[in-house]
This record gives sequence, structure tokens and C-alpha cells, in this order.
Amino acid sequence: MEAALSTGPAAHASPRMEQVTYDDRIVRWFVYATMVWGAVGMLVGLIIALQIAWWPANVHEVLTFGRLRPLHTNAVIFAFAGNAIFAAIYYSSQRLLKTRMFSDILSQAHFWGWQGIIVSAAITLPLGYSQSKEYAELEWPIDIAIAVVWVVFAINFFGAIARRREKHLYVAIWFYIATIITVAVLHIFNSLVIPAGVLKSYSVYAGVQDALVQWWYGHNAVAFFLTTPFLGLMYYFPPKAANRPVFSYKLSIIHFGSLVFIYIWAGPHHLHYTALPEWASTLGMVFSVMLWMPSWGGMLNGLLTLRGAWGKLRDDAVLKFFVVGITFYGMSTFEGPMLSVKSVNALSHYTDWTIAHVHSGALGWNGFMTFGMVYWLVPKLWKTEMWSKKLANAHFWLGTIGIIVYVMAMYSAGVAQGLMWRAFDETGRLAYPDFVETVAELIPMYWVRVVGGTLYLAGTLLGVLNLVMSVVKSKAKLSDETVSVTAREVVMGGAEAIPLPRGGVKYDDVLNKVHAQSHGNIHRMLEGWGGVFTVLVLVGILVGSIAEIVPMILVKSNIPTIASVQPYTPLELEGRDLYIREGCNNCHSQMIRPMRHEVERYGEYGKPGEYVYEHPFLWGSKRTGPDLAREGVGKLRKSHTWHVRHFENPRAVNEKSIMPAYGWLLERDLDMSHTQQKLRAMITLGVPYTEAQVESAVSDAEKQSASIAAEIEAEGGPAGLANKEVVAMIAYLQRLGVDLDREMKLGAEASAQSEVAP
Amino acid sequence: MMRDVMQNAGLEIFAEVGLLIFFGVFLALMVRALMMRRGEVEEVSQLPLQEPEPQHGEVR
Repeated sequence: MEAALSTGPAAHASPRMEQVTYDDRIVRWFVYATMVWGAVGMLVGLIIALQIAWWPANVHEVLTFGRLRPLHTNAVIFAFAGNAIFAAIYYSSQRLLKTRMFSDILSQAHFWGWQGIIVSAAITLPLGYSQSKEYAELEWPIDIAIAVVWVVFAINFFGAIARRREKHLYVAIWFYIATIITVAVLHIFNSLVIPAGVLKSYSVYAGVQDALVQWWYGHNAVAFFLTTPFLGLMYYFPPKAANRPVFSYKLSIIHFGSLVFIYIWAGPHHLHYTALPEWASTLGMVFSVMLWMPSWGGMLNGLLTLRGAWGKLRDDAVLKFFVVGITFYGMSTFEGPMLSVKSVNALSHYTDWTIAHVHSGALGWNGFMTFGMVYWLVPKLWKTEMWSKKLANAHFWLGTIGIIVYVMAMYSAGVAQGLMWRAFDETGRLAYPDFVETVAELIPMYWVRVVGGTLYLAGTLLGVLNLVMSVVKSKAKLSDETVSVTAREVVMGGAEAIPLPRGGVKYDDVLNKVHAQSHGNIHRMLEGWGGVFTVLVLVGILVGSIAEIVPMILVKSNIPTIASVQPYTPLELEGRDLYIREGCNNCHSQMIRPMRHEVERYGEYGKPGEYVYEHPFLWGSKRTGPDLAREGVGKLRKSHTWHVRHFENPRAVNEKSIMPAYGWLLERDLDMSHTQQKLRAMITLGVPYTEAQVESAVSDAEKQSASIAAEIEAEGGPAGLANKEVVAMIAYLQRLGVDLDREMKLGAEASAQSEVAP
Repeated sequence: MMRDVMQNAGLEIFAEVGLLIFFGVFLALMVRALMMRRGEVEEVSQLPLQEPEPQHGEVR
């Protein structure tokens, strides 16, 4: 700053000062929201953990696992972690930029808009309004609201950068910039849909492409919603709590650059051994392994920042949370690259190992960094001591033990199930041919998970109590902090400091001005200019995204079409939408990997051409129940009546099943008021339905439904099911795998004929 | 099958170019970080710790 003064001819003798009042009220609001939604989201998590251990906990249609699981993930990611990062960003950015946020109205619009989105998610998801894509389940009107609120947030944040009184953008700010830019790009491109009703839409992508875009989004939501903003938090709050600067600022620069650039490539590791092309899969794996290095660089930087403050660890709950939080960051960023290696993934994918991995990250890293920040902020924001330090320590220990119990149970469950799926006996047959046997084995582990989750939630509730009591006991009048800082035009070396000569601007003058602004140092100019820096970040993440996704879009016409793959009938399409409404894809995959044990258990492995009309794709990521991709063919095909009985009471046909009963499917009439609209939306997406098919959609569906209902009655099943929801669901399930099977039988006949022919 | 399609489409270049861009950016970043002056590093890393003390509370 002093250098800036001396370079300008109109330098002041002593820097002019300005008063800045920070907006702390908005930070307090976000802190409240963080703790309240945290408790709610974790409670929903506990309920769904219980539902897996003990199926009768699925007490009502809107409270089944399939509907609550998206609510849990959305609540803990976007409500708990989301409000936490907004609290962190609003508190630290104002201080690092030495300015109030750009606009109080925007701050409030951001806060209330975000809470409104959370409430609408809490209403629509249990009611079954879902796009089915993980962590992006919310329907299109809510997606638009998210985009609008995010833009409000971005204007508020970049406006503050533009008005700052500090030339340097501290590394935490870089991480926040990367977060805001990338989340916007991810959200927009993954949410592109064609609406087919007020709360119904179909993804514009199909099958392989949809899967790739979804996991580009899903993985980078972890990166840019659960990692980069928390790293910004890590570079600000732990140094404040330990009263020491970051261990190595240079390392933080390398950490930032390499993390942002590498992360964006790693998404395809979620799709190993699927119908995704191998090059994309390998690319995802290689970049995931590379990601280990910057992640650990960051972890060591965080931990070493706290060196010399270890003595405080004994009784300071804030530092305890930070140390364990950063340690869990290290553990889960080692585990992530390991799981992305194809041979490890072959065992771990679809099992609870993934669940263990995400919870060591979410509970350990996101949860503990949030709690550390909140315990540090309470005395500052409410001008009071923490109500009970003992309670804060109890929270820490309950949380830590809870995480360990949780992840140990899920590691055991995941590895055990993965090994059971692939086990063959000495005669060369599957050792556990009945899928449910591999589930029944895990029930004790699921109960242990319930215990771990209860401990963690209990800790969180202690935290809520501690916050509430601290606020209640605080006698201080709440106020916004006012500080005196060097005036903006002095700090930023504006026009006042370096006036341009009258009578035309000369080339040399412009050069001098640029030189003065950059202090003769080009990188400082880049980092000093928030806009330029933001564009560079955008380019960085787009390079990775384009290299991954463009080839997929280019090869659309090259995806081998399978002649027998036809669009669904109107009734099957309605059945598929019921499958999405009930969240079946949360427990059942539809993607058989090319491995001997999978083909043996389920049938022919998945081909890219099978999924060309799948808007959205329904491959799933976890098998709590068996894969359903070949449910309608071969040895897996069951009678219609079997399905009716199974939906009415899964235990009636499969004693050990943990699936909820879906009795309402047998009672409720299928709503076909949007069937034509749905077909038209599909036509827009390139699915080859004809106008005649659209016209006769409802009568066709009724005809097919009546025929299936008649078969059920003939088989000795219940009568009068025509036009009930269950029939549409059965029509869909009986269609799964049929098209490919037909193609393969034709192929087999053709080759048999060519062998006979001379 | 899919592999054949991808090879015929000649799109491996995307992965290769991407990798080159990454290494270019990474090298530039390393050079830039290692060439930072010590005084500047000190100044920036002290930013969170050198916040001005609040003067007075403004009641809201």
C-alpha cells in the first residue's frame, strides 16, 4: 500500500481513513439456520438409517426411504453445509475485503430465498416430486429459484470485491470465487430439462450422456460446495483461532490452483465399468489419483498452521473440532483417490463402502469445520462467552465417537457385501445367489450405524442447546462491528493517486498506470483484479468440463443404436415416472457391470445403445436391493401377480426383504392427465413418438392396463386392478431388459443360420 | 464396442490436450508461487490476523 502511494505523483502524506461497519446480523442469521437445518437434516438421516435396519420404520407413504433419502442428502448438503458456508463467507469476506457486503437487501434476499428453497425441498421431496438425479432431485421451478438466489449471492459478493479496501485478495477469497462460479456452471448445465407439468420434467440428456453430466455435477458438487468453500473457511478461521498465520502461503496458492483445475476432471470415476466409454473412465481415475497430492498439501497446510497451538487443544473445543475436521479431510481425500482406482471400485461400487466414505467427509470434515467455526463465532457475534465449554467438549467427543462407530460399521458392511456378491463356490456357482442373503448379513452393521448416527446427532443437539443458551444469556446489545480502515482510493491506487495528463493519453502514461497498479509485478495485478481472476478460474474449470463432456455429445450419433430398442409405451412411461416418484433408484441400480459375477446374477451387462431414450438415466449408485436392468427377461422375470404381491407386502414373497410395502400403488388410480404432455416433451427431446401415438396415448395406456389386469386376475391375483398405479409400475418393470434380449436372440439366430449356410 | 466407436471418432486428442493444458497451468502456478517475494508472502498471510480493532458498537 505504501508503495502505491509513492509511485503516484499525487500521493498523500498520511493515508486517509474511512469507517466501515460490517453486517454481522446476516452472519448471525446464517449461523442459526446452519444449526437448525443441521439438526433436521441429521434427524432425517437417522430415520433412514433406522429404516434400513428395521423396515417397519417406513411408517407412511411420504416417509419411505426412497422419498426421505433425497431429503436427507439435500438437507445436509444445501441446508446445513450451505448455510454454514454462507456464514463463513459473509463473516470473513467483509473483514478480508474491509468493506460491508455490497447490499443489505441482497444479503437478506439471499438468506430468505435460500431458506425458502430449503422449505420447498422439504415439502416437494417427500411428496415424490423428484428429477431422480442425485443431489439435484429438486424439480425445475425450484432449480430456477436456486439459480436466481445464487445470482443474488454472486452480485453481493463480487460487488463487495469491487468496493474493497484491500488490494490483495487473500487465498480464502479465491476459494470463495471458485465456489460461486463453478456451482453456477454445474447447477445450470445439470438442470437443463424440458418441463412436462408444473412439477415434472425430463432431463435434456439421455442415458450415457445424462450419467456423465450428472456425475460431472455430482462429483463437483462435492468439490465446489463441500470442499472449496470449506477450504476458504480453513484458511481463515483456524489461523484466527490459533492466532497464527497460515503455515505456508505459497503452498496455499499451489493447493488452490491444482485443486480447482484437477477436481473438475475426476467425475467419471463414479461410472467405472458402466456403459461409459473406457477413456472417460480412465481419465477420471488418473485425475482422481492426482488429486490426492493437492488435497494432502492443503491438509498439511491446515494442520501445520495449528503447530505451536497444540497446548490449547486440551481445553479449546474450537481447535479440537478444527484439528479433527482437517484430519478427516486428509482421510477422505486419500480414500477418494483409492476408491477411484478401477480395481478397488470394482469391489466398493454399489456397496456401503461409498456411504462410509462420504460420511467420513461429511461428518468429519464439513460437520466439524462448521462446528469449530460456530463455536469460534458465537462469542464474537453475540458478545458473550460460550454458555458451557464442558458441553462443547462433550459435543466434540460424542461427534468423534459417533463418526468412528458409523464409518467402521459401514466399512464392514460394504466390504462384506462386495465380497459376498462376487463369491463363487467350488462348483463355479454364485455362493450367495439370492441377493437378500447378502442384505440380511448386514443388518447388525446397520444397527451399529444407527448407534453412531444417534451419537453424532446427540452432539449436534448439544451444540444447538449451547448456542441457544449463549444467546439467551448474552446481556450485550447486539451491534455491528465498526472499524477504521485506509480509504479505498488510497489503497487501490485509483485515479486520484495516478492522474492521467490532460490533452490526450499517451502510450507511456497508460503503461505507467498499469505498472503502478501492478507494483511492477504481473501476478499481483491478476490477483488484485477480481474480475480477471474470476475469468481465469472459469476457464480452468471449463477446460476440464469441455474435454470430458464435448466428446460425449459429439459421439451421440455414433452411439451404436440397437434396432430393437424402442421408446416406452405410454403406460410404461407412466410406470417409470412412478418409479422415479417413489425413489426406487435410491436402492436399485439399472446398470450391470461386465463382470462374471454380475452377468451370472443379473444377465447381460449394460450397453450404451440401450439407454438412448432414458430421460433421465436411472443407473443408480447403491444396491440396497438387487439390480433391475434385466427384471423383465430370463430367469429374473416374474409373473405380474408376483409383483402385485411384492408391492403389497414384500415379505409375502421374500421373507428376509427389507423393502417398504407399497400398498397405495394397488389402491390409487393412475393419473393420466399429463400423459400426452409427457409424450410431447419426449418428442421435443428427440424420442421418436408419432403424433398419432400422442393422440391415442391415454386409450393405449388404458388398453395395456386392462390387459395386464386381466392377466393378473387369470393368474389368481386380485381383481379390478385396471388403471391402478401398480399396473403401470409392473408394465415398466416387465419391460426392463426386453429390447436388448430380443436383439440378442435375433443375433444368435442370425449367427446360427450363417453357420448352417454353406 | 464403445471403445471402437471412440477410437474411430478420433477424440483421444481431447484427453491429451487437456493433460498438456493442465501441466502447463500447474508449472506456471509453481513458478509463480516459488517466485513470490518473502515480504509479500508475509504481508498476505498476515491479512486475517491484522484486522483493525472494532471501535464502537452501533446499536441496530
